Amino acid sequence: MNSLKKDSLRKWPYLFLAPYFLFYFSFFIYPTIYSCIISLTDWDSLSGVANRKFIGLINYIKLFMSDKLFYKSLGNTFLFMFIYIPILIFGGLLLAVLLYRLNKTSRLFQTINVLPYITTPVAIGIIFSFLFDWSTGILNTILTQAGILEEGINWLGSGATARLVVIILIVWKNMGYYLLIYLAGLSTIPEEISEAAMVDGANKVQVFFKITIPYLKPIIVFLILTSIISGFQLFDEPYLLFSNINSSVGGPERSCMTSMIYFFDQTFRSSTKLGYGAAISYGLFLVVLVVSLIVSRIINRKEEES
Amino acid sequence: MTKQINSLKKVLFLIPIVIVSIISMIPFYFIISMATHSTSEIYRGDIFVWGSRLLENLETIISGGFLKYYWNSFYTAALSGMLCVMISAMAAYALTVYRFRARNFLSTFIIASMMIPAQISLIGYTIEMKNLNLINTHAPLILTWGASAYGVFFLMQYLKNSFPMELLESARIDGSGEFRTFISIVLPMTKPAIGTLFMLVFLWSWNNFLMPSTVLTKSTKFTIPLGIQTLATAYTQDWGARGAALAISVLPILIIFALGSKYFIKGLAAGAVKG
Repeated sequence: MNSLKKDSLRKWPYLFLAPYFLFYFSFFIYPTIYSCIISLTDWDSLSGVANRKFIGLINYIKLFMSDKLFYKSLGNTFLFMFIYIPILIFGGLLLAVLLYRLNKTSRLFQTINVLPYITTPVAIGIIFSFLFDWSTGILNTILTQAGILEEGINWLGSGATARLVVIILIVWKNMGYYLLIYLAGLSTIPEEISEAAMVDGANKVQVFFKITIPYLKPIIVFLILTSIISGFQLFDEPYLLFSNINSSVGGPERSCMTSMIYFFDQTFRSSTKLGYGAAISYGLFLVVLVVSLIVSRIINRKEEES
Repeated sequence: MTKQINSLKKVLFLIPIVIVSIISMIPFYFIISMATHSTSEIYRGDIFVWGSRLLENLETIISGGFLKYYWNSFYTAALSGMLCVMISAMAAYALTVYRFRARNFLSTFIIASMMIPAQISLIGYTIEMKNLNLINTHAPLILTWGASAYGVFFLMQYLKNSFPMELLESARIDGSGEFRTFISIVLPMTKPAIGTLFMLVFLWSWNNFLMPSTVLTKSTKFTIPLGIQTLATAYTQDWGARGAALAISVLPILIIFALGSKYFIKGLAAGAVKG
């Protein structure tokens, strides 16, 4: 590697990195700082730049002190995550272990199950609004034709069932992704270790808890943390689920309004208050940061105990 | 006897997997079914068997301008993928091959920046694009892929693990210039990883809804996700047409990805297993 240290080469790494940082500063750092400045102003995009007033932290004070809808949207987001993350973490693990035992390279099942994950989220929202539609929905058709129900349930019409539909949607969409991440993790466990344990008299359950789970720990941590971060981004599917003319943004009683829907709706649709919208996006970022830190702290502490 | 138990066990193991796989496929089945029926058939609940109205429904959608959305999405996603791959490959190459002072700091910086959600820049970005007169063009959707921390991270992993550094040495001894070495040796050698990254970025760009809906207002400029949203509200009474719109926006890309699943699945898993 000696020749790499030659003076003539010194400028090259910087030249190779230049385009990345050029784009990074122009199209990420600059707009991020710009958003931050906007969040300190009272600015409605309809009224033009001339009417932008600097108001300090007032947007943030309003957001955290008195914005009930912000807290409602955060609450919805948390509720969804509390339910679907455990389902995906355990369900994905179970499926992966079963599939791995059967056939280590079963790409067919992986491919089938990952298709929902790569399907356009907007389409998923609309597909589910068809499946669960009151009058023409496939689920109601099945349930009534099978005689289980006399009359279809208005799934998307009330808060509790609408939330159920969102959770089913998220689990349906993501299960295949969890499955394939776990499978990738399982394939890194050296077989000799579990074989040696079996020779020493360990049974399969012991092998699972003492060898497989510890080996998968980094992956489980990765999945939990990325699920939390992406959970706060949840937007397209619930937004489109209620895109019919008759339904309101975020579903009945705003029961499915996620933080991102609230941010988008306040900034670009129902109102055009860019200043307040920018404050929502930064406030949300703060919440995500704090939650991720707390969760990783909890995970690390458990690690020290065990 | 043990063999019988094993095959019984296999079947027991297979049942949950098959059930989950069927559930994964059910919505797609019904979308195709909807696309092949007329609205009145759908209202009657005749959707369990495919019908014969596919061509009529497709005609409705295509006369509504859906092919335009297709083209917009396609070339935007392709350019996004190319831009991201090119810039990420250069950056990843710099950070893995050269030893220079700022190296560790810059690698850590790029990897840490993956944690910052993009939406905090969204409002500023939209206004920046407005000031650059790029509203209602596809440039904002492409430019945002110029600096992808994930892209750099992903290619760095590949270069670190599977790139033969000796090759570079011999190229240098042969007097090949640094940039030429990169283009003629590094890029071809990195093909599998570049292909995977291109597929991922293509998919993310293709699926993106939030950013296009802030920078595109003219329907001739719409990409597929905006087109789906428009059609879903435009043909409220024509369920067959809505089904057809969903089918042609979703299925072709799923088929392409299913065919390339070998590379693609590796790409999805790469971040988790090594990171």
